[in-house]
Amino acid sequence: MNEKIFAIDLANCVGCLTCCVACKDRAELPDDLDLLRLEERETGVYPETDLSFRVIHCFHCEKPLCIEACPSQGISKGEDGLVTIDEEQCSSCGECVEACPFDAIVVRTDGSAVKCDACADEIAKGWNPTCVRSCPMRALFYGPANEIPFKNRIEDADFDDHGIGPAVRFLHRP
Amino acid sequence: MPDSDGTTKRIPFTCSLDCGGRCELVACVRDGELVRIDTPPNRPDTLDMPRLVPCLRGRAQKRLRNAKERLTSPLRRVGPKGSDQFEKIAWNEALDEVAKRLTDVHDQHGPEAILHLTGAGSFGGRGFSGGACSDRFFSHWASVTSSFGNMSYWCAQIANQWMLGGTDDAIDLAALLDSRLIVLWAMNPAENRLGGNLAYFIAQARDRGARVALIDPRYTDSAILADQWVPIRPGTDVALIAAIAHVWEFEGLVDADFMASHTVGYEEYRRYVLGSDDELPKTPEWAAPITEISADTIRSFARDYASIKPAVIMGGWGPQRTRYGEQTERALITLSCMSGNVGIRGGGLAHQGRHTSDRIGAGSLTSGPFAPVVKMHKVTWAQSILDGSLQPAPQMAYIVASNIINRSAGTRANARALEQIDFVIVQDQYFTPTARYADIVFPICHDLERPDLVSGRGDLHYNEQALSPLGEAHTDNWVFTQLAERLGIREAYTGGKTEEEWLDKFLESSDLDTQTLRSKGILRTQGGVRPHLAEFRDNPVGHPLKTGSGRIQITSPEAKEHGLPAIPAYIANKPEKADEYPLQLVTPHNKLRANSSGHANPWLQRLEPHRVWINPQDARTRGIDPNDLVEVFNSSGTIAIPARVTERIMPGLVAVSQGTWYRPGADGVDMGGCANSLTSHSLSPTGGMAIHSERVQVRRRVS
Repeated sequence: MNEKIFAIDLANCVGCLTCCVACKDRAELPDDLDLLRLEERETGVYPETDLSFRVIHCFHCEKPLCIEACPSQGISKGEDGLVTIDEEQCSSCGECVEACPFDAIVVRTDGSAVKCDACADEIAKGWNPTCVRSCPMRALFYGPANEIPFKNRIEDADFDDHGIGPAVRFLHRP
Repeated sequence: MPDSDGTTKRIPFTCSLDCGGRCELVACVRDGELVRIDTPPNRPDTLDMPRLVPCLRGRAQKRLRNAKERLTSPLRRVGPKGSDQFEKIAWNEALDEVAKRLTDVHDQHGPEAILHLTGAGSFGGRGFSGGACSDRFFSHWASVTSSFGNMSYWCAQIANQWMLGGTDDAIDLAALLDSRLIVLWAMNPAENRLGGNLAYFIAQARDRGARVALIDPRYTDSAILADQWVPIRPGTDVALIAAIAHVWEFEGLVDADFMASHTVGYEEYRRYVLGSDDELPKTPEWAAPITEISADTIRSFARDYASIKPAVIMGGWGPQRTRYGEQTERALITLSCMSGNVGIRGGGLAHQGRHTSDRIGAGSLTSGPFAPVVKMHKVTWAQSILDGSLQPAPQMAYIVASNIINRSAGTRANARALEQIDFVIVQDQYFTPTARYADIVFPICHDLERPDLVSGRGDLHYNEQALSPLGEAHTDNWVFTQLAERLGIREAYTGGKTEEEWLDKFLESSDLDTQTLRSKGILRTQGGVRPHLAEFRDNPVGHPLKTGSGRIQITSPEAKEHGLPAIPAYIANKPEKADEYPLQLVTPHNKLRANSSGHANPWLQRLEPHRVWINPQDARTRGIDPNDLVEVFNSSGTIAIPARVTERIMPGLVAVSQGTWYRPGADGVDMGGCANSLTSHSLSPTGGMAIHSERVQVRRRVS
């Protein structure tokens, strides 16, 4: 079980991409690799245009498909709920990348798989993860579900959790 | 402040890109290398004292600092102007040559034949930004030619001067929480000034029940925060305002008491709105075909605006960068007066937000005895070189911290103007399109590579030098010290002080807690300001405005001197060649750059490809599919750019975000998609930049 979850306030996420940059900077990855990305959803026809953004990264699922997919048992879910890739075990086969329905795992040039680790080292210091701290709109949260600070919000019905219990809540205005 | 591993130093610094925000960052430095840009981890974050959370531009500075366009040694051009053929030269050789050229032009043609052009490329450092140093240097040497005007908010400033006598119309961010209606009138805080907490406070106000309306030809990222989007044909804001005024007059919704006691000349505007003299009442039905907003929408918006109080209009500067931009701003002030919101907390008209009273006082570099000859217009400088009206004919241009050909209207003409000047020096952090027209290029330190003070709104930041300069880069102050030495004015220029000694002197004159400033990197003040014009509202006689009447001037005698009506009446822009160029062009700022700063950052370039926004209706009639490479063109130039076919823009116009770098191909087409390749030097009646009145055509590019 995940004690902590990610929550994203869609009502106030303006798609500024700051979290993407902050995450990329911390991860020290090549220019063209990201552990966190933003999906822009433009719907409706002018002038009834609508817009929203979804922050996508590893959601540390309850039943992670990547764990099943890894032939070398290199991915595990810890007691804290975080899903971790053991780089020593990774055989660069790419099966986990294929298995993740959120496209949240990427491959370095050396073939090794990498994904969001929820900034485990920073959480250990008592900080929020980098993406949460970076948000100029304070629209990101990581913590116990009953402490989500976004009030008067409902869950996004369009979000497909693929039945694997991602530790994330996308919230918008009723 | 060592990190937990004991090897990483966390050094606070402040982003000083020219977006208007000043946000707190932390440089993580290990073994002299910048390993990461972070924010202070556990700063308290309250609505009284919100964290200054940087946006993506600030966060991405690690990759900007070492971008491949970063200048790391002095260069001399060896190919034609505009080419990338340069060779590295030694500092001494470059400095000797520039000093000799300065002296030669000074002696043979007089100092006025030297143009001094600066910009916002390294803006925030109050002590040693490029312009601060070059201003001081020239003021101790000779009276060279410099420029006047501004490209940002000229017409807003003029309207404020005429009507309000010149006042600061920013709104206290905390006051926004008391607003019940927030009208984003072409303001896009989610992209332009995200780091200043303005968008955050608008979101907070909305969560407290405020209604937010967005009046903009584009469904911007800020539309996420809006309850209503009212797309408007660019350049017709004044017609919309007249129609709202008509609804209010007709339905008795004008704050007539305020107009009578606090304004002068309203009757003339009222007669205009009601059509008393021209038999043309400015009804919503009249405005609908002009603005392309339905009469019903205008009426319901007018009623909302009249009934929901306090109501604030947050004005963006785009609508005043038009052919009659003065009228836009005059009409907005008039409407705000009529609504009765002036001087009320959470109401009024504001162009900026801020969270504390004012700047914290500290000194800055002072000027010497030689005042510049201010005679170049910031918008039309290139035109005045090309048509020979700038006299004496310039022999030399010294360009500091400014990608000037890119960021001023009329990029192609700007490049031609620099080609005409015999000797050009560009001093910058990056090898910009402007640097390609230089004879000598001086490489300058990134903000992390020099100490400085940075002013925010109510904050003062101290940037300690976090890193050694990359390559052979030096500070602007070092360059001018070397030149001053060669010109025999070293003592006058430096005042006998190092940069750190100057910073001490700037702080000495204040009663600031310099120890806290240096250790924490920031000093902040708390406490808001009274609403804009509050004193005047309370007592117009006791606190008169600096206008002719002491009141708000709805009629402006100055307007007539510029060929404008005395009142803020709508003037239709009748563009030439409207058939040939049927689409309007807007060139908004976007989140990836602060003007052209940040273009060189591959992280940001990749996040959102540069594309022209075009409505599916306009794309369809031109056979354009999403992401097709198209040409956007008019008589100023042609750019090649992929199409973003989107319902986020109204039909009949296209949007090219400004700031990408000019890159002319062999056929003269700008492959970099610089928005100013499509703009001209046309001005509003008082001299405002009219770039949002340009027109273009779009076609698929045939390769």
